[in-house]
Order: sequence, then structure tokens, then C-alpha cells
Amino acid sequence: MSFLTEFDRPLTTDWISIGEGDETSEFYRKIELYDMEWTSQVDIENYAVVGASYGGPVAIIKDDKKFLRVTAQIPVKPIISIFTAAGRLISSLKWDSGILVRMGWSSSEDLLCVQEDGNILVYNLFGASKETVQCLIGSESKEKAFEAEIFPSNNGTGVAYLTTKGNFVVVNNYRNARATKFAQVPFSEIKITSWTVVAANRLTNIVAARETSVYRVDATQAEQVFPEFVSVAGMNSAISFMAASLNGVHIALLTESGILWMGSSDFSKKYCEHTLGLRTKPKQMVWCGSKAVVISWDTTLVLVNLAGESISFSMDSQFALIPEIDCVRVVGNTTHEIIQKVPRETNSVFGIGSVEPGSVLFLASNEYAKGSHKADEYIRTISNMNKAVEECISAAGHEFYPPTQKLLLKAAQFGKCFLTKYNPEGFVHMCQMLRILNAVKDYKIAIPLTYTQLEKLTIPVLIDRLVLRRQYSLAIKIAEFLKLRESQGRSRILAHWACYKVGQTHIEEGKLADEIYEKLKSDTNISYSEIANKAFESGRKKLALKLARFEVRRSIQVPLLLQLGDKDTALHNAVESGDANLIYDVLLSLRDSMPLGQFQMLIRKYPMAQKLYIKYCKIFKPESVRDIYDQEDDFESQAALFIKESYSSQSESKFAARLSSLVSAQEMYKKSKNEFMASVCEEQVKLLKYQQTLQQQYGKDFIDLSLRDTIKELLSMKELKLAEKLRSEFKVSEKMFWSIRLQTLGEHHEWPEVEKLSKTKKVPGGFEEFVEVCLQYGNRAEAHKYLPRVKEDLQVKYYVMARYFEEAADIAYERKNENELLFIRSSCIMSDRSLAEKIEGMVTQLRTAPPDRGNRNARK
Amino acid sequence: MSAFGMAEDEVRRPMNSVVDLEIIQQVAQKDLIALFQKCQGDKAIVWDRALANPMNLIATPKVLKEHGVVRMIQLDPGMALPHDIPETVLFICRPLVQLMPVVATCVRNEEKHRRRRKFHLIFIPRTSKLCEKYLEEQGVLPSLESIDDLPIFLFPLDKDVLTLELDSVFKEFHAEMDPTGMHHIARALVSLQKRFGTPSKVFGKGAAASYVFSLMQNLKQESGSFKPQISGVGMDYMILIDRQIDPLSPLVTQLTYEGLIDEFYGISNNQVKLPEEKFGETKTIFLSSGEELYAELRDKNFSAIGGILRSKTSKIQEKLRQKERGNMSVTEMKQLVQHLPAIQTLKQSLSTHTSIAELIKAKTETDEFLSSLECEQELLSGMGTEKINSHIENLCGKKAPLNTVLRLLLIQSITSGGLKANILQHYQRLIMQNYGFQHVLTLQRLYAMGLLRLQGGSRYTTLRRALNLTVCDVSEINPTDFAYVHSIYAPLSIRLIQHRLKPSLWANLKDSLLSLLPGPTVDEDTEIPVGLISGKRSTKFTVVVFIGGCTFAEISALRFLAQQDDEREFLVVTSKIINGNTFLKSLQEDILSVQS
Repeated sequence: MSFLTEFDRPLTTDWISIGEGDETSEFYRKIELYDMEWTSQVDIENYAVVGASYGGPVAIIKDDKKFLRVTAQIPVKPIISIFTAAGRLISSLKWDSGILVRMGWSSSEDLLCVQEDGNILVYNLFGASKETVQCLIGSESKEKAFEAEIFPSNNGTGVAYLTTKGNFVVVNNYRNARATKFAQVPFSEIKITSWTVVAANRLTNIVAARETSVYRVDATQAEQVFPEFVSVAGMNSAISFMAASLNGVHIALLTESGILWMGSSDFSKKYCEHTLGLRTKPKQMVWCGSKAVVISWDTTLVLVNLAGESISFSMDSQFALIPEIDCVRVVGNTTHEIIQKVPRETNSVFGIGSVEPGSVLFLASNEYAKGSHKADEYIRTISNMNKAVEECISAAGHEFYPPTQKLLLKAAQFGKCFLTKYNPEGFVHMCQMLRILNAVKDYKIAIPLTYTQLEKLTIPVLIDRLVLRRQYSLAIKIAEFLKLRESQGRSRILAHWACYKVGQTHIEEGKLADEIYEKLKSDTNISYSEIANKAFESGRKKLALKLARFEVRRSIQVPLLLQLGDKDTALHNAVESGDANLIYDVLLSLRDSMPLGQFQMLIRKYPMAQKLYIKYCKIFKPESVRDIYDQEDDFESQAALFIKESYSSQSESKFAARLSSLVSAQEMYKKSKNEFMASVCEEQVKLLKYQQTLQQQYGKDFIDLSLRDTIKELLSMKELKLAEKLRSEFKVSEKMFWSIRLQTLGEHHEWPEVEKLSKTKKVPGGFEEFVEVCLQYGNRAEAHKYLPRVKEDLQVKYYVMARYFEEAADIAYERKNENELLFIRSSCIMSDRSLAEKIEGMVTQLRTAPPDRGNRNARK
Repeated sequence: MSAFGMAEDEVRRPMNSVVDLEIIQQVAQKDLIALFQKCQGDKAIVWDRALANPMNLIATPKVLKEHGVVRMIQLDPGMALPHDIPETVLFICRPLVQLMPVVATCVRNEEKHRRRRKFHLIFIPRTSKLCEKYLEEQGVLPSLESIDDLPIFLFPLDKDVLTLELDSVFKEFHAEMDPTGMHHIARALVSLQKRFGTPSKVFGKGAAASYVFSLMQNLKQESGSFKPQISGVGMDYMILIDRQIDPLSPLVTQLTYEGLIDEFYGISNNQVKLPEEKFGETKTIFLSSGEELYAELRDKNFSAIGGILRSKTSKIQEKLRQKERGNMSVTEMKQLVQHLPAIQTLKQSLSTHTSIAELIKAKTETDEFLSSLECEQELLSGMGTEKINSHIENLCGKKAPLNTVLRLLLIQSITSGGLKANILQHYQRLIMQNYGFQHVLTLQRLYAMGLLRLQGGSRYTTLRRALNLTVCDVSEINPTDFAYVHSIYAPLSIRLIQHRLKPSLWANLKDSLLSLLPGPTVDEDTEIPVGLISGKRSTKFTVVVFIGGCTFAEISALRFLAQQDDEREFLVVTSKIINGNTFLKSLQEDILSVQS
């Protein structure tokens, strides 16, 4: 297709083809990321340089010997400097510990410095020491680390040591520092000439070479993979360099004679063998993604792919290589570049002679932008528009230059129009990711990530890294841009910010607290207690207190306030929370941490807390309750306590104690000017004393009967005189006394006595009670005697109650009371139907007779 | 489905069709099961007695069995665990310190016998520091594998009633200043709002009401992400009623069918135990609106029950007779056969309720009942409230049940607006002389809580007039006012709600009313973002919260209000269903149980 060659493709000018230049040839490209800010300060020639992957920072240390070994002979304490990927100095620290064997970065961007004694010193980006991990590498102290390597393991970052005794010791995760000694490599009389760590699939192996023999070592065995490494060319020389790819799948070996062998890391496959032109010892050998190896000399760089084909680059100055999962970064004195295999999709779109749909779509889109009719022509040739769009989107992701990204996205957008069912998610996602990638790549942030790296790293980790760099604002913007949940995004970032702020000791505490509150107040997910804790940790108690007071979750705030010693506020807020558990927590903690008097003064300010404390004491320290009441001059409560006490033991032996409790209660009531209660207590004492005498006298239980029951008991025993005595002694009313007598007599069926009683001159309770008592004890006939003497207006009711319906009806009829008649009828209808009919007759008679004023029944 | 024979009856709106309370039960059940799953294998549950019934509303024994519960044991003082139980033992109890000695004894006993057991302790709804402390002091804490909270705050009693099963919050808060119950209520309400939406207005009266409201505000603030929302249902109002503003209503005898069953036999979580006289044996009957007949009867005044039962019975008999006579057309026959299962159910229901009604009728016809009712109604009408009441005196003389005396005494004390000192003392002395000195502290407490009070600032008379609390001529059969629930008295609590919900009534009364009732007032509109207000909400959904319990009569009165107003539906949330007796029991100072 001729039209494809007509189009000028400036975008491929920096592509370098490797191999024959035929259909199968691969392209590599070198892209400049930054002009280094360190240009005038740093000459890489004099430094050892280590960079963190995923666009991480770069640490350098002056090293005359060009390898990372600071020997004791060097008297000056070297300086370690940390730069961003764009060469801006972040921090420097003076190395004044032991002999540094190796320096490298952890997966969470901490700088690890491995010492000769095996210990790992951990620093953050800002050069502040975080911790020192003790690591025991040798059985004897003489065994030291000779070399070390820092590698990404399946659960973090590991460190591998080659000891001075030729042993390998591996720590899979430096955070837990569990060292595993690996199996010994045979033929220890021959020096280990090179080694590397292969970490793949949860397994960590070491590949080590003694001259020409290669071993694969783990904790249990050392397996010889090449008894004697012989190249195809027949040359036989010691292996001086090794490198495993970051994913641990491939390995490359380099001999002193300049032969490069590439194969799988388990040595089951050999990819190629390549003879380098140079025999000088290279400076570095790393993998470029997993498709090629890059070897560097002073200013030369050679890239060899898996097919054994190579290209070489010539650089302006010395440089350092940083391997990445999909490329290699080249940091030089003036520039920071990446070398990358041109991704498949990019090749599809931009590749010379490409007839892939993406490529045609890109052309079409450009023509369309120019207003050319060719656009239509191109579109028509695209058979798989979906693929075309996808390719353009993916290609956009692989570009670093925003205008190119735009062109590709535009093409994708253009292609989308021709699709009826297109899910725009991929497109939107790419737009979002590119915005983020471009933002973090900016030289001020300097995290040059590729799209592939970002996908692997994930957004939350990227946000963490921004937070780590104190780029809070950008982190929040990204979180908001992606609409992350507050608790994961904004709130978390702000909390980090606040914790950082808290550490800024040069700012006055009050101002700082206000500043933090100002920023955070709109955010309800913030945990102030976390920040306050941080402040407390950094010794700023006043600030911690101020911050703790902003915390809204009382259950978290209160313990913190206690810890910070603000007892008053802690108690106040616990009470405010209405959570009794929290109040008890504070109360018990305060009680144990301050003098009792002070404690009581404090809780007195909070009645609820005081009441709860009393409740607590009632259960756990009953003896202290009275003291509290005493202190509070609460006489009524003390009296109540005494009364309760008087019931707490009812054994006769403690009778005196009971009485004295009641006397005390009486005194308390007197103190509180409650005369009535005082007299009630007094009477009870008197009653109990009586009862005790009676109990002794009659051998019957009297104690704790009510006054009424005491009298009744006496009446039952026919001790009328004694009963009378009690009556007058306790001012029992005539009516009540009568009632008791009547009840007692009824209970004992002493009907003649009842009648005698009825003949007394004055009957204070009325005769209704007589009827009731008779009925209650089943003597209907006796009841009849008293019915006529019942109060007139109650007579019908009582006749009915005693079931003398007929007489009741007569009375009602006589009174011409229709309501009463109806009431009687409804009461007797079930038992006496004929009477009911008779009453109905009475009612009809009453109705026909001229109405007379009837006596209404009181009840409805 | 409308059961046969009810077709011609009044059309009643179903209760609360707005929110589905089943979800509360489902969530609670899920939480419970999740706890069960924490302990592998078969297990025995030792229940706090008071939780057995409410938990039955959450998970049936069958569900428990499916999740490995092979034994259920009641937690009782002095008990020992049987030895043929599984290794895993779950104690499930309320966070009450008085239960802890029983738990501790059980655990220690098992250890003494060196039985291999795994003990777990589950608190419903929430652990208590006092309980944990107690177990710690007793040294049994290490023997417990776990202590968990099971945050079940609300138990659905019916489609429109939720209970928290908190027995004594009224006393705890007002007499002891213990906020535990209030905290639970606030949590329950916040969770309810999370589920069913934020009310657009909140009205509350009384110290406990305003306290709960403030706790709710705290909780919402603490949970941070809580934003006002209207999810499906909109809550129009949330009304918080502190029992303290109306301690009178629970003391008054309930005269509805359900109320009377409760007064005489005590309904506990929809279950009532009835005596053998009518059923041949003590019978536990399950009462809920799931039973169509009961749904119709429960809220009616008892005077109306006989009529309904009679007419329904005769209708059924008529239909069945028709069938026997065989003079029915084919279509009629077909119809009848279709309805036959419903008729059978109804027949069964009718027989049960006829028996219950007879039991109650017998009780209501006794002189004790009638004379006390008469006395009560006189007091409510303001008659003779200022002098010593001879009926109360007589009851004391006869040593009638103390609760009856106390109920009347408190009614007099409240309706009189406080008794003269000498009268109050006379009554107190009377009670102590007849019933014994041990009641002195109960009387003191009633006095301290303002239920028994001294003269001064009579409010009842004014309130009675303003709110029309006593209605003489209300029909018990076809009522036009909810005063029918007590025959002549309309519960103050419900009158207040009725007035608050009607702007025209409220405007006139607001100021005087709120000053007459004790405690602070909450009256707030929630700011709800405009976008959240769903276009049209035809039903006004109102949640009424009783802090300190409510009676069946009050619920009936609310249902009556809902029937009167086509647009309004109520959901009742109560700390507990109470009546005069249980209310008094919760206030008693049990001096004799202090003995050790």
C-alpha cells in the first residue's frame, strides 16, 4: 500500500532497529526524561550510584575505588546524598557507622545501608534514620559480610550476603531480619568470582560462579549447573559478571573474555551466546525489562537482546544504570534517559510500513484534523475498528510526550465514533492514568513512571510514595481526581500531613494546632488521636493535648486524654459521651492514679460520674459508700443505707445491730430535718422491740411482721389486751383496728363474736365490711344479718354481692330504680333465668307507671 | 387475604406498610449466627431468662439448631450446668451485674469438676465494664475464651412496634443518673435512622428525651460519614417521649382487650401464659397481628369484644349450617370450599379468644376490679383528689395487693397535683403499718422521683382541660376518640403527640403546654439537602419513641390516630412494654433481696 510510505513519521526517528532489519527486527528507543539538576555538582565518575526502581530516587556516595566498599583506611566520613530522579537534592547524611558494604533501596523507598557486620541501617528519603536492623550473618564474629546484594523478594525487600568465609546468607525480608544460611558452594579453595540473587515464585536462589563452574544454591543444596562453562567459541574463562532479570526468570552471565551467555534462570534453556567486542571489565550489567541485557563501560553502552543481537550507544559522560521492569534508566551527569524496547502497540501504530488498524486509524485521524477527504478513505480500509482504537489507546499510554499522547487519544476518540457498542471505560481510564503519569513525571515531583510500571505499582502505592515525598497536595488531588474513598484517599493523606506537621518543632504549638485544625475540620474521617499520638511521641505534649481535644470519637479521645494527663477533660468528655463503660474506665483509672481526696473533689464536679462511682462502690467496695455520702453531707442516702443494712442480716443474734442501724437511720433523718421519716424509723424500732419480746414470750415468729399482722396475730391468740396496747401505742386508727378484728374473727369463723361486735354502739367501719368478711369466709347466711344495715345507697350492690337477687330486686323496685333493676338482672341471668324474667316484668311495670325520681346507681 | 366472614367489616388499613421491620430481625439473626460460627461444633446456650423470649423473635429454636445449638439452658441463681452438654458453652445475657455471680458460679463449678469446657460470654446488646470487672475480681475472666458484644438493640414485636427490652431505664436515668439505657436507646435510634432515613423533624419532651437526642447527635458526629438521607421511606417525625412527662398513663387501668390481657396475665414478647381453668392446662398463647382476628380485637375496648366474637361465631355457624343443609348453589359451594381453611383458622381463633374473653370478663366483673376502677375514674375526673380516699384506705385495711394501692395512690398524687403533707404521711404510714416497714424505701423513691408528691403547682387540672384528657361520652364500641382505651381517659402522652402533629392545635397550645410538662423540649427541623427530598411522599411516617416504656393502650391509641388520618403511619419504639404493675415493679427498692 503505497500511501503509507507517503506519510512522514518523525515519531520513529529515535528508534534504533536491532538485528537484520527485516520483518522480525525489534526496535529500541532512548528517550530523554530530565536534564539533571545536579549537573554542576556531581560527576558520576567519582561516585557509586544506586537508584530505586519505579522511577525512584537516586543515592550516591563518593567512592574512589568505584565499588561500594568504604574501607577503614578512608579517614573522611563519606557523605551519602539522595537526589530525585531529576537530580534535585533531597537530603544528605554523613555516614559515620561501620564499613559500608552495599547500599540500595527497599520496595517502600527506604535507603538500606548494609554494613560489614551484617546490620542494615535504614534511612528514609529525607536522610533520617528510621531503624537499624540487627542481622546475624556469621556464627563467629570474625565472619563478616564481604559483599551484599539488595533484591526485591516476594514479601518485601531482601538482602543477600557473601561472607568473608565464602558462605551465602539470605534475609528474605529485612524487616523481620530472619537470616537463612545457604548451602555451601563446593570447592571453597577457588574464589567466588561472581554471584547474583534470583528471586522468583516465592523462592530465593543464589547463582554463584567459581571461575568457570556455576552453581545454583539454596538453603539445602548447591547444585552445579555448569561444571565448566565452555562457550561455543570454545573459549574458557572465568565468569566475572552476572545479572538476573527483575522478575527472576532470566539470567545473563559474562565471562572475562567478553562472552555473554543468556538463558533461563533455572538454566534449562539457553537463549543465545554473544561475543562482545570489548574485553575490558564492564562497569555494570543489568536487564532492560526482560527482553535484553544492557552492559555499560565508562561511556559506552551495549544492548543485547535474547536473540544475541546487539546495538551500542555512546554517551557523553559516565553514567549509572537502573533496571526497571520494562526498561532501563540511564542516569548521567547531564541527562536522565530511558532505553526501552518499543512496545508492541507503539510499533503497530508508528512502525514503518505498519498496516495494523491502529496505524491506519492514526493516519485517518490526522487527515481528518487537516480536513482532508483521505480520512474517509483510510477509515474505510479499517476492518477491525475496535482493535484500532485499542491500539491507539495503548500506544498513548506508552508515550511520554503529552502532545503525542493527545494525538493518539484523539485518534482513538475519532475511531470510537465508528463503533456502535463501545465501552468507554478503557479510554477514560487511560486519560486518567496519563494525567497522573504526566503530573508525577513533572521535574518537581520527578517520578518518571511508565504506564506498565504504574499498573504494577497501583495507585494507592503511588499515593503512598507521594505522601512519602511530602507531596500532600498532589496526592490529595489524585485521590480526589480518582474519587477514592475518603478514608483511603483524602483523609488518610491529610492525617499523614498533620503527622508531618506535628514534627515541625520550629512552629509554635498553638499555631500549629490551629493550622492543622483549619485544614482538617471539614473532614469527618480524620483521626485526631493518631496525630495527637504522633505529637506525643515527638514530645510535644501540649500540642498533643490540643489536637486530642479535636477528636470527636470519645471512645478514642478519652483514653488519649487520660494518657496525656488531662484528667478533667477526660472525665468531662466521658460523661458527655453518655457511655457508662467509658466513664467507668476513666473513673477507675483516675482513682488508681491520684490521691483519693483529689479524686473525690474531681468527680464531685460531675454528678453522673459520681453516681456511677457510687454504683460501682456498692458492688465492689460497699464499705466506702457511706464515706462518700458522709463527705457529701447526704443524710437521706445515709439513712437509706442504714435501713438497708438493718435488713441485711435477720439472724436473731444480730438483732441489736439491726436496731442500732435503724437508730442511726433515724438520726440521719433528723439531721436532714425529715421529721416524718425519723418518727417512722423510731416507731419501727419500737415495733421490733415489741416483736422481740412477743417472740420470746410466745415462741412464735413476730419479728418483721407488719404492725397490722402483729395485731392480727395477737388477736388470733385472743390477746385482745395486748393488741389494744399496741393499738394505742402506735396510734392505729379505730377504723383500722376494727377492720383487723373483723378480719381475724372471720378468718377463724367466730361468727357469734362477729355479731357481738356488730352490737357495739359505734361501728367505725360501717356494716359493708361485715358483709364482705362474711362473704369472704363463705358464710352467706351470716352476711344476710348485716345486709339491712348497709348504707342505703349501697344496699342493692351488697345484696347482689351476697347473691340475694330477689330481695335486691324488691328493694330496687320499691325505689323505682330501673338502672338497679337492670344491673340485678344482668347479674342473675346466668343463674336464675326465671328471676331475670320477673325483673324484666318489674322494669316494664316501672316504665308504664309514671316515672318517679329513681335513685341512680352510682356505677355506670 | 381477607378471611371469610370479615368481608363486611370495616376496612382497616394495614399497620405500618411503610418500613419492613423484618430486616431488623434478619440483620440481628445474621449477627447472632456469625457469633455462633466463631465457635466450632455443637454448643449449649445458657440464656439469661429475660432474653429467651425476645431472642425468640430474632431466631427460632429451629434456626439455632441448624447452627449447632443442641442444648438451651436457663440461667438461674443456684443452678449448675448439666454434664451431658457439649464442650462449647455460650452464656448469652444482658449486661447486668446481678447475673454475673450465676455465670461465675457455673464456670467455677465446671472447673472444680475438671470438665473440659470452652466458655464464651455474649452480651446483648453491649458489654458492661461492671460485669467484666466483676468477673475479673472473681477470677473467672481467664476461663472465658471470649467476651463478645451482640449489638441487638431492637426486637421487633409486631409490624409497628420495636422494643429494646430495657426493664428499668426510667429508674436508672431519673433516680440513679445511669446513662447506660439512654446510650442504648440513642444507638438503636441512630441505627434505625441509618436504615430508614433521617427524620425531617424531631420533637421530644422531658429530660431523658433531650438527653437521648443529644447522645444521638454525638453518635452521628462520631460516626463521621453519617449524612442525612432519605432512603426510600422518609421519616416525617421522630417523637421522643420521656415517661417522666406522663407517669400517669401507665398507672391507669388499660381497658382494651390486649391491655386487659396484659394487666391480668402479663404479655411477655407476644406470649401470654393463661391459667388452666379455661384450657385444661396452663397454656402459652402467641399473640400477634399475624393472627387476623387478634389484629382486629387487640385495640378494641373490652366492651366491644363480646359483640364481635358473637357475631363472627354466628356468621361462621350460619355458613357451616348452610353447607350441611346442602341448599347451596355450585358457585356458592365452590366459594365456601375455597374459604374453608380460612374458616378453620378463624374458628380456632374464635374459640381461643372466646375463652380468653370469658376469663377476662370474670375478672372485670369482680367488685375489687370495679370498685378500684370506679375510684380511679373519679380521681381522673378530678373528684375528691384532695382528701383521703376511703377506697384506698379500705384496700390497705384489707391488705389488697400493694400494687393496686400504690397505683391508686400515685394516681391521686398526680391528679391532685400533690398531696397535703399530712395526707401523704397518713397514706405512707398506712402502707407501712399494713404491709410492713420494708416498703419504706420504695415509698421514699417514689417520693424522690416525684411520683408521690407534695402539694404545689397543680398541673393535672390545667392539662386535663387543655388536652381534654377525660372524655365522658366516648363510645366504647364505636369510638370517636382514643380515650376509649381507658374508657374515659385519653393518655396524656398520645394527646401530646396528637396535638404536636396538628399544626392548628399546636399553635394555640404550644407555649402553655410545654411549660406545664417537666423537662426540656426538643423541637428541631433537620436540614435535608434539597436534592435528597424525594418528590412525593404520600405517607407521613412517624416514629414515636417511648423512653421508659409504654402500655398497650398507648399503642392502641396511636393506631387509632393512624386509622383516623389516612396519611399517617406510626412506628413505636419503646424501651419496654409496661403496665401499671410492671412499671411499679421497676421502681421498687427491693430491700429484702439485698440480704446475703
